[in-house]
Amino acid sequence: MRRYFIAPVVGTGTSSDPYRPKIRANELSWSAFIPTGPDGHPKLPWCIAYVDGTDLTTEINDAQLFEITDQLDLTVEASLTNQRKNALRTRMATYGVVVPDNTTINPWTMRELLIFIGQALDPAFDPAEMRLTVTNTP
Amino acid sequence: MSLLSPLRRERLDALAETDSPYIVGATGWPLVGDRQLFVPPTAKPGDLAVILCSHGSGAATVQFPAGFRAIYTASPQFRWVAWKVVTEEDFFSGIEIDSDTVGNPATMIVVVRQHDGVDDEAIGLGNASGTTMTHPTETAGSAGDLVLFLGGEGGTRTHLPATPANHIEHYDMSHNPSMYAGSYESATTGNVSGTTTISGAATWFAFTVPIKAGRVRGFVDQQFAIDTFRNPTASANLNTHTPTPDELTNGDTWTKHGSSTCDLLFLQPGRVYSNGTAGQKAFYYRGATPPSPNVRVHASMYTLTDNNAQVYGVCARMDAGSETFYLARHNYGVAGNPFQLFKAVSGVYTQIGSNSNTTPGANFPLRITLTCDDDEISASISAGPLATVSASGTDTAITDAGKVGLYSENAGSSTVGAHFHNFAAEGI
Repeated sequence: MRRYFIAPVVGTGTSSDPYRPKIRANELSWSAFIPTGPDGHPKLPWCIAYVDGTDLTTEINDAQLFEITDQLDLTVEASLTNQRKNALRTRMATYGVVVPDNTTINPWTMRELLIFIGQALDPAFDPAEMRLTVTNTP
Repeated sequence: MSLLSPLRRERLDALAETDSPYIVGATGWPLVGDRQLFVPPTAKPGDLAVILCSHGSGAATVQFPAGFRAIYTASPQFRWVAWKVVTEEDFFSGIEIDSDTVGNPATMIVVVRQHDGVDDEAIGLGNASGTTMTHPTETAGSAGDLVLFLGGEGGTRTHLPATPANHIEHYDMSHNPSMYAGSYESATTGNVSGTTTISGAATWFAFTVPIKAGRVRGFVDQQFAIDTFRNPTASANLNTHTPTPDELTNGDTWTKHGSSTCDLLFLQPGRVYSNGTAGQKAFYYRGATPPSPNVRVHASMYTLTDNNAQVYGVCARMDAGSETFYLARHNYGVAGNPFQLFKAVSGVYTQIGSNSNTTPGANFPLRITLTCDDDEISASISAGPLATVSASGTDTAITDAGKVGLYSENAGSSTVGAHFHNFAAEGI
């Protein structure tokens, strides 16, 4: 299964403990959008990760992570309950990002919501460029 | 996407006018059991690739997979097979050397740059044993034909063959048994007697590629840095070595980055290893400036039985003065042995991708590729037919063309870790 996650950035910036999303970094396949400044350190304490794994229960149940479906063509209204939208709003408020009210975001696709959030990190964010490819041949 | 610079186009055209066929890459590694071997990154679709296999001087056999012709067998047992390279990711799979009864197995790939009219089904072949290499009747051809000779000695190499005066390239894989490859244009029609002298138990092979001194098509893509790691001085530091093949490198050399805390050293031709200890890093970069920041960097390597928690990979957009670059690396230092994509800015590391499905085990050849295309940074690792995986991300932290190079971290040695086979980089 594949999911997007809004995640805190963890790590100290060394080669063996790099800045990375707060997921099981060595057990999963993932791609992360973590803008950094001229000094190399993350501009913000959070990031967006696109994660592939057979079991993402650990990440989904982590209160510091917010799960977003990979069905990006669905509307926000069809994908998120009002409770989940409020949880997203609360989570993003801790990062200083104001998510518009439900009337505004309900017609959005999940892609538009993800881009809205990602561009709060950096205007260059494009979920289409977060790709994972795994080909195993017996 | 980038465009060729006018200067670069001029160089390509000059090379394209060359009318001498030549070998562009050779690499080798001992193979025991069912293994995969990649063609060197210098190979391009349409090239002719030749594999020479040996298990030493015992009675065991060398098996090729179905569909490939095992062209010749002799004692000490060598076999060779040729095929056209189809893609840049070609690998030769299924070679099996039954046992290592006497001496050690050895394998070598030689790639002949594509020419008009090469037909691998029409290759002549022959062999000669003894002190003088004489091409037998099977190699009879026409003046101007390319003659490729492959050879080996059953024991430790005692002599390099003296190549004909008009030879084009010469390769030496100092293993046991050792192997050689060279080529030259035939000056006569019919049999050609060489003047090569060898000693010890040895068998030579020679075959002609049935073309006239054809028009070499020159580079494809914008390959600006290559090294097949040949002709080193034993135990030499990589930064003292002249990258090979010479005609494709313009004298460009390696530089040890100032952030390095250990070295990359030669074990033998085609094998470069790190002498680092836990926590130490080696970064080496090529002097050539890429035609643009958009590049693809490759390295082929081999993982030994004792990988020793080593981390190794390739870099792009590397700053010569600071620890700044994009890095694709395979990490034996953590559980799962993930394949990882990094950016490092002034020594601060951020991981932007990972793939946990790689884990090629010990004793495997693999190839790592890092691609930087504007803000799309991606990397892939191929380990024969086992897995091709990639990770990618969007990043704008490093936009200068910088340099391309090799990376290694943690403990390595001549007997543990991963050893680099070859290196190449091209503009995209």
